[in-house]
Amino acid sequence: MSAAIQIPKSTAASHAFAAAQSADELVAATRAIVEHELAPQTARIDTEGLYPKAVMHSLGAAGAFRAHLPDARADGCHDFGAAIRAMAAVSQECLSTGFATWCQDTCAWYLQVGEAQARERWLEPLASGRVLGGTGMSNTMKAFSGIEDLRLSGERVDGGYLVNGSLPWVSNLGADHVFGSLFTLSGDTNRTVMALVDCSAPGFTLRQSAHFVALEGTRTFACLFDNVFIPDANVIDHDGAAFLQRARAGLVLLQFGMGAGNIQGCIDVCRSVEPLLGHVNQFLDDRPDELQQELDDIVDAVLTLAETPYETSKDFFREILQLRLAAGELALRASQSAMLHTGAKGYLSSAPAQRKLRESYFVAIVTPATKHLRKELARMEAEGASA
Amino acid sequence: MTETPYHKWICDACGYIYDEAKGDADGGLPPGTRYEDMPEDWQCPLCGLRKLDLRPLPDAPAVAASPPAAPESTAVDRHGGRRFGSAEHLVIVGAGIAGWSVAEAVRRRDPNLPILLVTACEGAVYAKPSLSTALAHGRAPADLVEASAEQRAAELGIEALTRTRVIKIDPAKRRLITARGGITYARLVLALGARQRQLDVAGDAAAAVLRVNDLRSYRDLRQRLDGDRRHITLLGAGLIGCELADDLCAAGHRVSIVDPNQRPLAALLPADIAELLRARFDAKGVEWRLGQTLARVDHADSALRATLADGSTFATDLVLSAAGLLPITEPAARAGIAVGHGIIADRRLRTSLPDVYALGDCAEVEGRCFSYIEPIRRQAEAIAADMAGEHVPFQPRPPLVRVKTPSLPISVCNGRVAADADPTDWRCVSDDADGARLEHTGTEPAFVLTGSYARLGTELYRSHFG
Ligand SMILES: Cc1cc2nc3c(=O)[nH]c(=O)nc-3n(C[C@H](O)[C@H](O)[C@H](O)COP(=O)(O)OP(=O)(O)OC[C@H]3O[C@@H](n4cnc5c(N)ncnc54)[C@H](O)[C@@H]3O)c2cc1C
Ligand SMILES: Cc1cc2nc3c(=O)[nH]c(=O)nc-3n(C[C@H](O)[C@H](O)[C@H](O)COP(=O)(O)OP(=O)(O)OC[C@H]3O[C@@H](n4cnc5c(N)ncnc54)[C@H](O)[C@@H]3O)c2cc1C
Repeated sequence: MSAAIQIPKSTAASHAFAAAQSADELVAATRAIVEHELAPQTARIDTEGLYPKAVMHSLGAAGAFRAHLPDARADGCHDFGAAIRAMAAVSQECLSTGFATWCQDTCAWYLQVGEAQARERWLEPLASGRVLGGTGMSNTMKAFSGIEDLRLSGERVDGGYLVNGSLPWVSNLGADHVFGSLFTLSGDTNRTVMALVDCSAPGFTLRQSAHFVALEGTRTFACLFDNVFIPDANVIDHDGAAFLQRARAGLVLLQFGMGAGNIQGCIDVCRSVEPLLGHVNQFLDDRPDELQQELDDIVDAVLTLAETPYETSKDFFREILQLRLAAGELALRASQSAMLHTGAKGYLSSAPAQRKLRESYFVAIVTPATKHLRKELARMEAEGASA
Repeated sequence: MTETPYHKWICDACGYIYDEAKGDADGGLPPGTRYEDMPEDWQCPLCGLRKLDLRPLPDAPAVAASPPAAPESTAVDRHGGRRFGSAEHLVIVGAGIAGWSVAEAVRRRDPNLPILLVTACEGAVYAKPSLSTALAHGRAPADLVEASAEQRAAELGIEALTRTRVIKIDPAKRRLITARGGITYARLVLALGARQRQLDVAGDAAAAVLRVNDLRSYRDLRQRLDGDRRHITLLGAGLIGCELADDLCAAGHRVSIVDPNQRPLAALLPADIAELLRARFDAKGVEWRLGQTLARVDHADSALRATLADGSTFATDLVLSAAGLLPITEPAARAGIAVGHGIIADRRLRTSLPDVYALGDCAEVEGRCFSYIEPIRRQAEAIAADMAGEHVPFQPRPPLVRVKTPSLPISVCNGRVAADADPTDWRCVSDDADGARLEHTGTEPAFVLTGSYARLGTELYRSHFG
């Protein structure tokens, strides 16, 4: 289609990173970008809704979006641990950029576990960060948990599908971005198709919604589909249910980059005032050392589970969800603690503590949200008990 | 006439419970048979031990005088309890016979030690050997459960954390990592058991191959049998494969057995005894596919189509794999604990790390992994003794194996020697219509008993090993 977005030419620099890079090297490279390019903009991203486009391209060029993608690495391996740690380094500073990183990582992951045609076309542009992308799968995840109905439906036409419907919030989008989403087939609601949506396609509209208390710099839009043509070449998987089964563990595992980064950022804030305020802060609950131990336990577990992202067993996914719930709950406690440890200094509108407080709620409400996790885990426990 | 109440007795070795009220139908004891009236040659249907080895079942086994108050950190903490254990805790990982035996043995010596048992499964107490005889005995999976984890934990005055897998061990911090939170320990016992080897099978139904090694997978099997007459393909003609095959036949199912060896139980029995077992199975309609492996299994109509390595195919309803047990060692190996075939432990069951023990199917002692019940209780005692500062080491012995195949009951001692022995090495003590009794003439004691002689196994074993 003529409207299809142009994939920018690859530069020599981004190719150099296709060679295997160690996880520690990746984290170090990410930290350097965070310090020099991201940190100076964090406050504006938060308050003005500035989208960190240049930072995203830098992160892509540094290899931050490809560690977990075997087909985008020279060694053909996957290192989810490295991807999670790089995302955590970003989120520790700014959760808007951390979430944009998750969107990018996850969109590319869909292509990794999907069918070959779309993967061959889109995986490398996304892995390198030359094309930016998101994921409109919250509705899907909730639909498959029986919480709501699927909002998109597609009709088979010559060479592809015509899709109609709308999605409330999808982040990391723009006219030249793409995102992965799933629609039901009209006439056969048992069948679903996973596809990559091109934001420049005719009939597709991005609509700026109201403002959020945080995560403003994530370019989050409502997506309206009015007979949007999705060519077969952009179908990620013709069997949506089987696809989700393969993709879900990786999708949730990657989210720990956001949680771990936000929590570590809160602990750092608590520690930073220790020399000055330790004598009174010792009377507080959730002291930095306690929080650190709980975070380390979660990260230890997650990095071990992250070694087998292709595992599809129920027990494995249950463990991921238990940890995901714990990360959301710990984020809330850690950010609360950051506020109490910093006191009035943290209450200033320019202070990191109050931003982290607002950001931490996102860790707990982004799908799978705390309430969805509790519902799903209760169901799994009941199923296990009666099995 | 005075009506004395019926009593219950427990088999020391395997935990089988003899209830006087119910009797033992398979052993020919009608309901109401008192202990006094049991014949002296009665044998435990699970492990083959004798009447002598039964002891009265305490109303509440090894109860702590008053269950120890949970230390501060193990109580559900103020944040919803993601912290467990403490720097005083004995933490046991695994709720098989090994895990529960250690809890009992330690509790008997120390009524106050805080003990936490963590397990990936639901933790129910059951006799695993019954999994291969339950169909013929008409027992549903639920009938095999003696107590839930919660019940047994309460009786012992310990805490139990079920459906919680240990993902990682951090010996430097003395901490276990799980999806429910971290667990602090002072001493650690690994009772991880073994898993059935996963065979490399291709085909679109490969994921449907069942491996029965615990209650959960057994329930799954029973559900799929669904009260119907099925055709089952068993992969592996070892101990578990043969027992399951006989049990499935007895319940009216049709069975094919696939094994790369030329005869069943090739690693355990002398060739002619194995042939005899094979002939008995033939008579029950078992179809042998020996010298073969399963290459692939695919969905076909409402059933499955199995394809062997030689290209031959047949229709089947269910594929069950029993291709050998592999000790679970990964969590230990990753923590830097020495691992061979199993987790390496000495006669005190100490591993290469201080205060970390291993026992049961996951452990390797002096180069040997035991995948039998008998050594487990003795290992548990050795651990409890060592923790109490006593020196009562575990004595490894060649195993006595009872092949629970009603078609041809067999007891074999020192199967490794027996399987490789030359026919001239055997002394045939008896060989008649009731069965056979063969004794090995070499330096290492070994014997094979079949038919009604199989009952002599324990006695003969004792004469060799005390
Ligand atoms: C800044 C921001 C960015 C976002 N970016 C994205 C994005 O990029 N991609 C994306 O897919 N999503 C995105 N989201 C959506 C996000 O992931 C959540 O799904 C969204 O916040 C809605 O979830 P909720 O928990 O508020 O909805 P819910 O409260 O779950 O409401 C949804 C429906 O589910 C029902 N429901 C809720 N809980 C239960 C229950 N326990 N049992 C039965 N029914 C229940 C409700 O009644 C309602 O009908 C974004 C959200 C925000 C705030
Ligand atoms: C069908 C069958 C018939 C048998 N018949 C006989 C017989 O007749 N006679 C005989 O002597 N023996 C027999 N055996 C062998 C005997 O049952 C075993 O030797 C014995 O049950 C092993 O006990 P265990 O506690 O070491 O291991 P298991 O019973 O396997 O227990 C292991 C425990 O560890 C837990 N676990 C594992 N990994 C983790 C982790 N990472 N985190 C937390 N928990 C974990 C598991 O959930 C489980 O609770 C038979 C076995 C089978 C399967």
